[in-house]
Amino acid sequence: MVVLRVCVVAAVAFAIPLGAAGSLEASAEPAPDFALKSLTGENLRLSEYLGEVVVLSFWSTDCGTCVLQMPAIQKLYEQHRDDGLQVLGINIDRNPRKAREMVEKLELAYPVLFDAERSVSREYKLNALPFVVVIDRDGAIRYTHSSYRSTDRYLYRGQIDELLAE
Amino acid sequence: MNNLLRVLVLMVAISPLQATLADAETAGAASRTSLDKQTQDLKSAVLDLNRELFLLEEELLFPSNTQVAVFVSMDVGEYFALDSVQLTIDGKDVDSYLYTEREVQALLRGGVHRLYLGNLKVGEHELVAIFTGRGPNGRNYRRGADMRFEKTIGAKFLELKISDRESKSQPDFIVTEWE
Repeated sequence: MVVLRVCVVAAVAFAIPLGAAGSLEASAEPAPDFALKSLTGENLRLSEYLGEVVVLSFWSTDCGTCVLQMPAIQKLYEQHRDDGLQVLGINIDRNPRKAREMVEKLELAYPVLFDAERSVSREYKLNALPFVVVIDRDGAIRYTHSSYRSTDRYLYRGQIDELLAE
Repeated sequence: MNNLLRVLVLMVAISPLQATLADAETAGAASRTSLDKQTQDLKSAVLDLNRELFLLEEELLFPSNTQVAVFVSMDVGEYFALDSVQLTIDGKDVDSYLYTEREVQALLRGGVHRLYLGNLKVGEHELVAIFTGRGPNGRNYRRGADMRFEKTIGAKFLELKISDRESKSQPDFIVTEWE
């Protein structure tokens, strides 16, 4: 009987998104939750930023393009933090020492978290760096970017503006 | 005179069209409101279904006969600031959890966190919990607590309690069973 109920509920639940095909929200996947230790020593959990637009920026000190990209993300953070934008930098280096130096050098003001065991990177199917995930106020992944060109900052801005306005 | 007549004829011709446009606008606005309401209703229905699915999933994945749940609670917290808990059952790592400042505050206000939910067969088992955080004088602190328990038919609930031992100015970590 329970199995039957599950089947009925599952059928209805899957039928609804199909009916709403074409809607961006309908195809947006929920961002996997995680908690990581930050550069300042505190633990930060993604789900605590529900209600804000969140940008996850995965990076490594070995990635030259990341070094070009992070100042652009820092600028977006400065411009939109008061509008409800949160940026979480996620460093995947095995050794955090170089990452600390890089954060200081680039004067990043947003929290930087360490994913040395790469559990979060695996969860987000990271396959290239830099990797950016843009999450809406409901906690759904709306955009991902797995490369960076200098003009991409305008693309980021447009997407962030759109999600902040929702 | 001719022009005036043409304007009048034009006005007469347009007036039903204007009324139709106004009607269409009202109908459009009503339709949009109705669509918004339908979308909200759908969203709400999906949330309800999701909740029901979650409960059903738990019921199926963790039947009460084999279910084991481990909770974390905290009292006072003057001598210990919780950072993480690592949980081992029968020598196997089953869960580890990093606590944020907000979660620690919730625990200090009397909240109880369900750290682990799993299945165990009937018999004797061993639970080991490793707590890390900041101890007295702000030093890094790592302590363990363990317990042997008997799993019988029916759900088993265990609680990891962190409290202050005033007499020794130290934190205390104990594992208890819910009756």
